Amino acid sequence: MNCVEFRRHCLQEGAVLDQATSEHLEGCDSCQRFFQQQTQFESLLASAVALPVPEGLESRVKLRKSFAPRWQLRHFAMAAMLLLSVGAGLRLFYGPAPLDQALVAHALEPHSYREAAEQPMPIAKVSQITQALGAQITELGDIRYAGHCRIHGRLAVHMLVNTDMGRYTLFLMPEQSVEERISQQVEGHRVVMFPSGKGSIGLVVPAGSDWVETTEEQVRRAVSWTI
Amino acid sequence: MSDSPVSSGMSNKQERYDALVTVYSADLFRYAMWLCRNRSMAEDLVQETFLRAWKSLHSLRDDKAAKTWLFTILRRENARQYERFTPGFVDDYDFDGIAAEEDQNEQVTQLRESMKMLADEYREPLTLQVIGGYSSKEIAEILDINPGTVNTRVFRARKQLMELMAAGQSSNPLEGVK
Repeated sequence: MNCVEFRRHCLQEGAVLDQATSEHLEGCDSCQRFFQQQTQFESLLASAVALPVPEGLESRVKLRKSFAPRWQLRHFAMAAMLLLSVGAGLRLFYGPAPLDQALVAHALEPHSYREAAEQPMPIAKVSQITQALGAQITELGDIRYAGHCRIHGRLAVHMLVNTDMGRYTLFLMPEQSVEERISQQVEGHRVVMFPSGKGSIGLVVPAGSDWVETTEEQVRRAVSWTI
Repeated sequence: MSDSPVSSGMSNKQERYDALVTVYSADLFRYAMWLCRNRSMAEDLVQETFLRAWKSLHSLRDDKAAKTWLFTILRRENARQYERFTPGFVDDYDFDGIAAEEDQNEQVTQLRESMKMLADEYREPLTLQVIGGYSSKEIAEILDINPGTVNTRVFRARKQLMELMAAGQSSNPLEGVK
């Protein structure tokens, strides 16, 4: 092994030595200096790559899974009650949670980042987030959180909006389509979804809120799509 | 890769799943973070990865393959979002915030900034190697490319990072001067 081969090995394997490279290192002063620098770099690289993990991630992952069977059982029961076809029944049993339940689960999920800020979010930042997914927002009011999330594996904008009546969660979902407006009661919440652009919009408000229609109208007026 | 820490004595599905989450969720989050550049979405990606893993845990016959299996699921889940739609993301790494949280040294922050500048095709095999401890052959399997290409990419990734670091340090001639 020569010096070029030794150095190439270090840059490929991250200063991990095998027998051949160890033997070369023992007899080469120049590569010993190189190896020392390389070892320091690898230590730095390991620290740089090891980004901090959000507190409670492990518990949240375990908790989320525990919801899944409950949804599936409920769907199975619904399928039986409604005497759906065997094919549709199987799809409900094995498929993901329906969109309305997924939205509520997402809105309620404890999350280290999706918390309402004490101050309204600057509209420029909100616009940057919505425009990345092809949505434009005007006059939506007091937005306390906006960020990207994934609903059923598809990107969406997740927002928390304060109103005089209360706070609601808004999802802009360019890739989740619904055929018509749906309003459902799920887990103590009212979920309203309606087609918008090529995808849909979802609202989650506390059950019993009498302001959902007003809010829906405001959202319909405020959101437009560029895709 | 060494023997899996997950397998021994774990007879039921729940126990096996919990062990996978305990052992691999942190590394998966870090990998997700470098893939999707956003902490909130990285967590969603990890959640979806484990939900998918739960549903098909029966198909994982060899527990030694669990880590590669999970990394592959996560990578595929991330890729799914680009099947029909390409979002107009601006890179969203919040390293300044992280540095403050961690009280991290400047060199680490500078290296993270340099990693942002790498092309995805260089950064991804490097992060798999450093976070996952994978060999070139294992990275090649996850990325579906050949091991020779992996070697070339991690070589270039390191070389570029070292050059960027050197350039960053020389750009401030007073740095380090007492």
